[in-house]
Amino acid sequence: MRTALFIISAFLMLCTIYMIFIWVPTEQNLGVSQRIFYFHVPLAWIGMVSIIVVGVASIAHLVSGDNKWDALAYSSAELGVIFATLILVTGAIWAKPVWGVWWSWDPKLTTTLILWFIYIGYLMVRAYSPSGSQGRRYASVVALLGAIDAPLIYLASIWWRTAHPDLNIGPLAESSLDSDMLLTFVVALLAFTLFYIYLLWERVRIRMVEDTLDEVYQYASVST
Amino acid sequence: MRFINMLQYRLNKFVIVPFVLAGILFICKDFVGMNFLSADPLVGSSSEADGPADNLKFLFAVFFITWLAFFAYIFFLSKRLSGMKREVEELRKSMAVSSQE
Repeated sequence: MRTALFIISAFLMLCTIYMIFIWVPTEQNLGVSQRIFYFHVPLAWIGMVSIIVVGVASIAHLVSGDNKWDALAYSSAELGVIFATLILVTGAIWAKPVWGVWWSWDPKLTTTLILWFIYIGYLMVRAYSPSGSQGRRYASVVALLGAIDAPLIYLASIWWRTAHPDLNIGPLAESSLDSDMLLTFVVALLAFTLFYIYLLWERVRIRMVEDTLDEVYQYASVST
Repeated sequence: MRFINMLQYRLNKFVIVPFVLAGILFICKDFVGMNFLSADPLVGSSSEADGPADNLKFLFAVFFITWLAFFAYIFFLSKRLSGMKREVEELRKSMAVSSQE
């Protein structure tokens, strides 16, 4: 199953690269730089999904006490840092040719930066809080606060004045994409989502082995 | 033993960080023509001033950095996995020794 997931995501990634660089038509106003959209938006989508996964898994861990949920939350947070960093970096690279600046304190950018800090905060709480269930509970609270930020990022361009264009994806979309552009975007979104699921799967497995090893070491240190 | 492994692991991470940052800066400098010190927020949109071929650099920079990050993370996971395998092997050995005693 995992191998199949990896093969499908790799195939879709190749399709995405072909479509972005060769197949999709160039947008008239933004030119070639608009193609960054097909990287930037799927990364942003994963960044937001990731924090929701962290929040939901944290709630499940708090309710059930099952460490599998905690492993899922931790793994998703770790991947979330990577994706959130990539959102900020790719956004900055896109902003330069379009807006003329690398960074502006736009509401969408600011809420995304807050998301990045929440991920870092979550991992820092996990790293420096007491080991065992206490630290996991503290981190779960941070994750729940973080999950609130995801809808804020999506709705930022509706609620506040922003340099970002109108929403053209999702239930509140105000404008629509050209059919070829939409197809490229959907393939890119699917490829990145499957790749995220594959990485998450691998990371959860490794995290569970890490937890088991920690328990063995704790048991050994108590018994000696 | 566990603490030493963790320390080594954290130390490796801290050593890697400046290299990664330097690499990204180098890439950005080469691909994007970035100059942080003189970045002027009042300068107008370069897409208007430059041709589409110039903006292609930005697209390649995004593509390159995204995949660099993914490969770096996969490398980190594989290192972590090999470290754990080593730890499990050491545990097995120490268990075998203690059971013989």
